Amino acid sequence: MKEITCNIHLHSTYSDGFGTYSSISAAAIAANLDVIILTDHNVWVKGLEGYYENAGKRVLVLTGEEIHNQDRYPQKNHMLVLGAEAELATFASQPQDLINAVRQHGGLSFLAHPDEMALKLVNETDITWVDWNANGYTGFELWNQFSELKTVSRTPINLLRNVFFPQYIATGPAVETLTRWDKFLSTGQHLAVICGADAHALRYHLGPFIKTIFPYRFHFSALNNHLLLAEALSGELEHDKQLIYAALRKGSSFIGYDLPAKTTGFSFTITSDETVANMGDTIELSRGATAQIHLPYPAEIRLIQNGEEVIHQFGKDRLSNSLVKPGAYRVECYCEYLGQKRGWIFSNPIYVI
Amino acid sequence: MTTTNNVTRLLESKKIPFEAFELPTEKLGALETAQIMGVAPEIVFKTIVITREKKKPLLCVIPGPNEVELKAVAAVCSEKKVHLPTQKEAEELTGLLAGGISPLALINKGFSVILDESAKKYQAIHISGGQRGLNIKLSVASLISLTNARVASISIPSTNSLS
Repeated sequence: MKEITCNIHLHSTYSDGFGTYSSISAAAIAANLDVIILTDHNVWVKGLEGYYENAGKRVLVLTGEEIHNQDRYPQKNHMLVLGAEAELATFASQPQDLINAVRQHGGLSFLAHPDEMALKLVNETDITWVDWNANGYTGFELWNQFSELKTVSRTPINLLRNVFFPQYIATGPAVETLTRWDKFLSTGQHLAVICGADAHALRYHLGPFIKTIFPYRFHFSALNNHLLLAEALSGELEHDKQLIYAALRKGSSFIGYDLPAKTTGFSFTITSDETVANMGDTIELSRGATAQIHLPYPAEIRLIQNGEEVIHQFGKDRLSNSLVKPGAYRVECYCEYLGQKRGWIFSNPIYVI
Repeated sequence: MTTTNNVTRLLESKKIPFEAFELPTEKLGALETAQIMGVAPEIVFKTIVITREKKKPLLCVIPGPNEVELKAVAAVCSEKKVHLPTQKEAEELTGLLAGGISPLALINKGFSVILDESAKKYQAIHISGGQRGLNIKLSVASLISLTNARVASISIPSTNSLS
């Protein structure tokens, strides 16, 4: 499998972001990303996908869309739509209709920031997902960087610190979202998760000074999706797009918080009856089935099955564990950074049946 | 897994896929092991220690139902004669208890390894995990690569019912 780094949920000047496709792609190239997926609000930007080059390097830029009902008050139920290749914002008023339309168009639907808190200090409401009766979506954003800023900035001093020193913010996905995911997984559902930057690079003016909140470059150095592709990117747009969306659909990926330490090289496999399963795969349980986890650096590792901890180790860069029960197995890793324990790696599950 | 030892750590460090089978911790023969695991005895390999004159002993890895053919082993390693030590001698030579003797636990300890060529019929085989109560299934290619084993025909079907 070929690992690539992909940042999802970016807003450009086509909606409320402050970067152009060109400037965002330059920032992505500088951060050594392989792919970025822009998802402007209720607009599917056509004709700008492709490989962007700068300084002898390149990044693949894909276009999705963040769809939501703009007439709804308060704002809820934002959905990231990828690979549908059509403008589907007309379905925004009914989440289930939107999900169905995305499926009909062969696209992927990820519920954006399903759990977050309002940031009342600057009149930002919580834009959670509330229509939990909806079904058939691909998965959800387990970890959204802008949501975390909203959730953890409880006082003005807190907010100022987070704005000027964003490296202090991230500690992990919302507990509610993790719990919800495990609950779905334990019922046998297959749900892929991604992380989202929700990048806007908002600019605030203070007299002659301009402060950019969360520049794109910061997002790209922090929370990324690491996709395991069946083959290396070829440089051909349509071919590579299919590879990337296939990996996201299946959950052949993990979420890596790359700021404390690069997560590239993480692996989680289960070997059973001579078959090796990777994240997103389904495998039959046989006697001797063994999970193997490798980290690029020693850290705290948790192996979880249907929300229940199977094994927990500290300061290790590898772990093996034989499995005796079916279920959705996933891995969480934590590391120390800036004096605090922080979420570092969150894998998609391997489904053991 | 409750059983983690140098063998599993070695496989982890080399990123070699393996399956770990936990078994009762008493001494088990390959056939009993196969029976407990519910797999064909032909894919459960056992490790036989063979001594030779003035040289480090050999480790012969052969299928559970078979017995080592000493003449064939001698021919493979260009010796006039090789010997089958007692269980106690084998344990002293390897530092491992019978039932836990495994080439995977003796890597870089100067033992030459010969793998019976019948292993090449299979994608993966079972082998002791270096201690009683732990059996490892891994690909034949990985086993050969890890232990630098020579592959040769060194066994014949046993005349005994228990190995």
